[in-house]
Amino acid sequence: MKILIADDSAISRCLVQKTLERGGYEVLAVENGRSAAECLSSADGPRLALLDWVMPELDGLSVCRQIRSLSNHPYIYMILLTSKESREDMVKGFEAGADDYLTKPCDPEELKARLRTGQRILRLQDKLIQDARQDPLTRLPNRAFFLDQLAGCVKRARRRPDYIFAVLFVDTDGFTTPSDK
Amino acid sequence: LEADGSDLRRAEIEIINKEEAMIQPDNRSSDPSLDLQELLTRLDNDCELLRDLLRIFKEEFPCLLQSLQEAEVRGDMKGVEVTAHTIKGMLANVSFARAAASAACLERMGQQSVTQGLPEELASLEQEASLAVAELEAFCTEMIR
Repeated sequence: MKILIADDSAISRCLVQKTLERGGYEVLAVENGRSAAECLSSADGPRLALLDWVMPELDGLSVCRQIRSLSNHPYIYMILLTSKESREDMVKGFEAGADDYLTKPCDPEELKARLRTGQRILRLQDKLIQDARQDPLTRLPNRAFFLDQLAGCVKRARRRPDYIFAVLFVDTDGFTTPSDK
Repeated sequence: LEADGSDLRRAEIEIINKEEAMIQPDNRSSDPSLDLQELLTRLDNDCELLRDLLRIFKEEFPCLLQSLQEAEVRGDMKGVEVTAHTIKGMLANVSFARAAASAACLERMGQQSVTQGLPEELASLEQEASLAVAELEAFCTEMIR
């Protein structure tokens, strides 16, 4: 699984990168908050992130807020890994949208265990979204999926005048009998 | 004056943290200069990684220390706080316990705009970091042998 490390300290990046590569993760490392936000908001960006708090250009809290403000984007599990140790800072971190909070230096086993928790939550989140968007019997996209797609198309059409979309209504006669079977 | 529960909680946390941030009686003399055992456990006894970390430390630390000294000369206490914070994290990562305690003290001094004793604490940070580097270098040399 891909994971992003954002830290301006080369020592921290090197240490965490080595720990995670040993644990089988594919690691992307950046040294400032702006690059972290760009990477996480890209279409196929990592869904797990370890963010330092104090970073140049954009701090870890701002990255969390920016990512949480994205709509229609897959959930990203973000852990703040920082030297800020006070309870007030921890509360601020969670309020900014972080899922977990670790202080430096962190124990490698604890870090990996917390990342496994993150992966479990991402799987549950994906399952929840999938179940909400498809019919449980036919496994076909349902009304919620259709409305979601429609809203996306309308938004795009408003933004780009050259974007055209059509809605096709299809009805299947006598569907109740086979579906009851 | 009206205050809801969250305002009161926030104020309470602020007071607790201010109390915690007050310069505590110094107990760092009990800390080792370099906690080698803790470091090796955390690195899973990877000596190659240990050497890499030492190399990076020796490249990065002088620049950060210089920034910290410059911030102190300018009287830029926010700069002292932020740079000391970065140095604290770096020192903690390599288990330089006493130097990390010194950086934490400098961070609090920056936070509270305490200038008294700042040059002495800076000198202490530099000295403690040098001692720990020397200890770690000696260990790495021993490992190569």
